[in-house]
Amino acid sequence: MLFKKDRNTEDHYLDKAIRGERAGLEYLVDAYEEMAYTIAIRIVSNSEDAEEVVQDSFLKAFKYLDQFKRASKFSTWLYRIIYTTALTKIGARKLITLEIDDDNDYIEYVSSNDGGLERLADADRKRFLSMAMQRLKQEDQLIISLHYIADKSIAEITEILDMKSSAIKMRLLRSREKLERELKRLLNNEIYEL
Amino acid sequence: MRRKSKDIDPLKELLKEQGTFSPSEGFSLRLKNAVLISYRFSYSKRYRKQERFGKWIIGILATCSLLIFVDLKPSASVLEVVFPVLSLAIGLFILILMFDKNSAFKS
Repeated sequence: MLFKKDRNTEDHYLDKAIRGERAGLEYLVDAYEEMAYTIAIRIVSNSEDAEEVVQDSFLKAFKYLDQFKRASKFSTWLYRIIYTTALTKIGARKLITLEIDDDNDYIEYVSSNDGGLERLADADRKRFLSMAMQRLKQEDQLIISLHYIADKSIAEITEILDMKSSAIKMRLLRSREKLERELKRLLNNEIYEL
Repeated sequence: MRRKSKDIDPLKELLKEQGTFSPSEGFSLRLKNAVLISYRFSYSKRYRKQERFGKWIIGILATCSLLIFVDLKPSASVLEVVFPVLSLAIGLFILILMFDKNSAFKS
């Protein structure tokens, strides 16, 4: 998966794709397929629907590729299409954003200097991360994924999710804190198994 | 050096390493095929007018060339060479057209 791509390289392949050249289309699919699937599965929550959403979104994006004005990055435009297609799939206009009680009594906050994350064994990392992510609201999972995995800025996330930037900033901060707390809690509970 | 180690965000590193999901095996290939087929179809549909216009121009140019050739009143020996070459070219063109149609049906 490619994240910080050279804009010129991307433009070069984008031009090729617009001309209908196989190399350009394949490059764009290879570059964004995994992140597209990650976004889709965070919304629809099952792999079959997520694959369907990714396929539909790519087909839509390439259908209107010649109308893409390059005001934003291709990835931002594609992720917006994936977000709306996934919402259509689950029959929602927006993701449910019910407030979850943040004051969990059982969460014991551990100082950030204890190097806890480094101690996670490789085999269990994904499981712990998945468990911690599931404690977040769906929309917050998306914001975290877009910002930290896809390297999207606040402005770009605003464009993708159609939310106010102040809301994104606040959610990002709160989600990060919560995710860290969850990871550290899981680490404390499971450290002896590692 | 100190600044570099300060810039490393362990949560970001962890999310980048383990935070993505991968689709099922073979999905990537299926997706690429679907994209290529649909794009090829919409591409030819989008430029259908231009394609027809191009064919008209080629047709007019070929007719003009033939008229010029007839106007030059070629001798029988020249015609003996020209007709086989022309029929070979037409035959090849028909064959290519047939192959092209067959491959379009298969995909």
